[in-house]
Amino acid sequence: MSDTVLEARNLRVLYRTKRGPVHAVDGVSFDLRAGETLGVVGETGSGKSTLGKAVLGILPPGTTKEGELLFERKNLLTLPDGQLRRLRGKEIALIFQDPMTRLDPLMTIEDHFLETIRAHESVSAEEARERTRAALASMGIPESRLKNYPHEFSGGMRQRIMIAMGVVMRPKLLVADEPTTSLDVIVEGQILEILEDLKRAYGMSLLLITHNLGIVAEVCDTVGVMYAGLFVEYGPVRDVFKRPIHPYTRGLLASIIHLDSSELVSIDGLPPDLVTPPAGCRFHPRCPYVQDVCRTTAPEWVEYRPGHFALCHFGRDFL
Amino acid sequence: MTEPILEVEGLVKYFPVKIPAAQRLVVRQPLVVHAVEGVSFSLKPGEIFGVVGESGCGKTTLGRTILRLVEPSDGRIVFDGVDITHMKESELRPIRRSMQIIFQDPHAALNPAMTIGESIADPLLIHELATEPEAKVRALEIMTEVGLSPAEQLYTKYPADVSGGQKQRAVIARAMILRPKLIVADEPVAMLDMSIRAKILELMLELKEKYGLTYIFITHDLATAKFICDRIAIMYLGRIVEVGDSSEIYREPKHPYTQALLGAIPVPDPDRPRMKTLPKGEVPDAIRPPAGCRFHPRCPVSTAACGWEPADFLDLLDLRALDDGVRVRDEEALGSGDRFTTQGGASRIRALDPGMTAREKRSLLVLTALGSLAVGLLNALAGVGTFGLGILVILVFDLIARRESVRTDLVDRGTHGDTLRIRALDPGMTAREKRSLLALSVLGALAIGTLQAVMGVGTFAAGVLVIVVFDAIARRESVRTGLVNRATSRVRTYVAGILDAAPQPLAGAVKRITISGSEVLVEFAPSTDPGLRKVDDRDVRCVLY
Ligand SMILES: Nc1ncnc2c1ncn2[C@@H]1O[C@H](COP(=O)(O)OP(=O)(O)O)[C@@H](O)[C@H]1O
Ligand SMILES: Nc1ncnc2c1ncn2[C@@H]1O[C@H](COP(=O)(O)OP(=O)(O)O)[C@@H](O)[C@H]1O
Ligand code: SF4
Ligand code: SF4
Ligand SMILES: [Mg+2]
Ligand SMILES: [Mg+2]
Repeated sequence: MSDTVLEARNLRVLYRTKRGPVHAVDGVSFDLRAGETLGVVGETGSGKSTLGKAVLGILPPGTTKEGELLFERKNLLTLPDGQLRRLRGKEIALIFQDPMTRLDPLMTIEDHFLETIRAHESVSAEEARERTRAALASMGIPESRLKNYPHEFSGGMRQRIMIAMGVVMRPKLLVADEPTTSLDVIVEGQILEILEDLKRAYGMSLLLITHNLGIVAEVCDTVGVMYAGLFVEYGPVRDVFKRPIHPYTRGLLASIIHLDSSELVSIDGLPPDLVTPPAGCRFHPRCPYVQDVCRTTAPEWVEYRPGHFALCHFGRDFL
Repeated sequence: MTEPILEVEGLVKYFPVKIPAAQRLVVRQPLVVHAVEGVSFSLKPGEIFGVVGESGCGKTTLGRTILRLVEPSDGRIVFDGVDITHMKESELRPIRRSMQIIFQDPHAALNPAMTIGESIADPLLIHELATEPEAKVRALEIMTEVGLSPAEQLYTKYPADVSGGQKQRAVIARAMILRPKLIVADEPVAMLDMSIRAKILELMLELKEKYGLTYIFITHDLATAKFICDRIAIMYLGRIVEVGDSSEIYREPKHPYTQALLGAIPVPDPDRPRMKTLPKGEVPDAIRPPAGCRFHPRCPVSTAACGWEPADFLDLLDLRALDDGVRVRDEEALGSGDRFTTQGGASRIRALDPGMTAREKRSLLVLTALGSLAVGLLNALAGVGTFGLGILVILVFDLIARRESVRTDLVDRGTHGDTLRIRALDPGMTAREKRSLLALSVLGALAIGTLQAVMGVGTFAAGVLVIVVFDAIARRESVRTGLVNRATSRVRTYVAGILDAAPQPLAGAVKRITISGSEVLVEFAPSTDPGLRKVDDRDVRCVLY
């Protein structure tokens, strides 16, 4: 059994807003082991990015955080800012959907790398430059482009640069928030291949946030299906895809339009407002199997198969 | 046979590229984005025609050009039997009602200051087809039809207060209210969550059945296209590469690009192993699209006949440079990037500088310039000196003249009595004499200055001459001693070696490697676009068929 790199226990994140607290993550638990990939899927607004930001410690000030989020047994939620900053970028790195928002348009690619490297390690300029060259070459970006500015690269190249920057410090954990959402399928495939290669090469763990179930099936080991701030189902990818338990997971899987789909399926209704989430089971207003108990009582997080959890009163019936 | 509702023939749209004035001197021919290039197809009424391809391939431009929202650069658009290609906006107005567009981003498509209902009713008012109360009634009807119910209640909501799915329904309702015949739907579900995409697609299908609509369905998602399109056209860099019956294309994609696109779609089945041979790299720049088949630099099955060109050879060198060792060897053998140029179908590599090196020439030139500057400065000083001398002469002569005037009693004779001071005479030179002398010295200084300036230029010219002569001699010597020969044949051998190790199609496309003076030319066979050709049940643009 490999070591757990990241462990969440009943993680809660509440944003303060004028309308009241937003329960963006409301009691999420999972384990991410070394060298594995955990996929987090869900619709827009289900709390995926909030989860990623919690891991990086980059939630806006004033946000309430509860529960435990252990990175190598250190609780990221209570770690002093200084230590968190040291972890960030070195041990835990992040890549975003839109790299442009993270790259300084007035800095060359080389300068971005030099800054990243030297923020975490005191190495000679020569050595930092050498590492930069190697990191970019491994992403297929030739040395002749080191002095180019971010806008001089295509979307796919920028994402490669972001990844190269993210992994240049050899982090143990990479959080990727929709890293391929703005890319076309072919480039998306290339980026996923790069991430897989990196994982294999460095034994890095990956927390992959996406709304694309196809990607989860292809690259993840475990998956958490997120709905209205909760993991409604969590387990090994094969189990969750082949023998889904939660009605939401089933609906989501059925609604994917893929090349073998034979009919158009959708889930009725809309995700709830997270300021006033529905009582009982949060999915009950949209659930085709809803019973009275679902409207009043929140279901329990039950392990139905080894490592396969779901949040539904009738989980047993759906096994 | 039914008349086609739309015929598009050889449609072209080039967008001019704005170049800063300073660069315009260097970039000779005007640059254009090849957004759409020679697209032809025709639509039967009631058809759903899919336009599929990666972003930037020209789908949106094609859709908007067909609707005359973008002016075509060339080609013909015939809508419902009427050639609208060059129609004036006033003539076009009534026809516009029959052709509507649904945009990708429903949020951007709706005016945030108008209620959902007002936005939907608006086209009726713009086209003056109804009074306000009539428009409202029609809007409420159509809202119910597209699933925006309770319509009365949603009518007064603002876009910000409804969900993404509802906004897209509103956009559809607004397009439908004019009872169009053709709708261009530009990625209508791309921005919606998976769980509601199906609903919108179903709605579009229902409306089509009910009103006999014809759709051009633009998408980058082949899976969605498969679901709803009767026919599809796959586009790559402004051109259709494969077009035919949707079911047939999915059953057996023929064009390598179509195959790549289909193969790259992630399959939501963990038991299906990820086995992909993805094309290399990304879609190239539409300002300088690849020659021949535009897909050739990325095509996994390309042949030597697919349009390889000098740019591909340079890309190969870039690729090689990713490996440190190879990069050093290549640079030693071929020199740095400034030795490469492309011209026509050949890559030119300057094997050596047979005369002086550019650097030598540069330093000599700088030296000459500095030298003539120094001379010039010296001469400027001399010029000032001349002028100074002139003034001195005037002063001295004046003084002498004064003295002489006193000595020869000239002054005495001129003055009688002391009380009233009348200047009886100018004891020195007269003012006029001084003026002429001054003018003389200025002229003198100027003449000398000019002479010296000429000398300065001469010095510079002499320097340049020396450089040119030395360079010519060096050139001769380089040739005589076989230096040029050795360098060019070394580069030629090295290039041949690179090509031997290169992927077959590229190497096979090199016609010959020749030597011209001190340059090595890598010449490629001329390339042509394979053209869209009939293959079984469809048209394909690929040399393999
Ligand atoms: N900074 C914030 N302040 C208040 N609410 C926020 C903030 N960021 C996100 N939210 C809310 O939290 C919920 C979850 O958002 P997010 O984590 O971004 O979801 P996802 O990434 O799944 O789309 C949403 O309802 C969103 O509106
Ligand atoms: N108004 C414009 N001016 C200049 N270039 C444009 C303009 N609109 C689109 N382009 C360029 O034309 C090409 C095709 O774009 P587009 O039609 O939007 O493709 P798609 O919809 O397939 O993504 C792209 O290279 C794009 O940058
Ligand atoms: S608890 Fe009830 S409402 Fe919730 S998912 Fe299960 S059956 Fe549906
Ligand atoms: S013509 Fe066909 S084989 Fe050749 S590069 Fe193009 S797609 Fe590939
Ligand atoms: Mg997000
Ligand atoms: Mg577009």
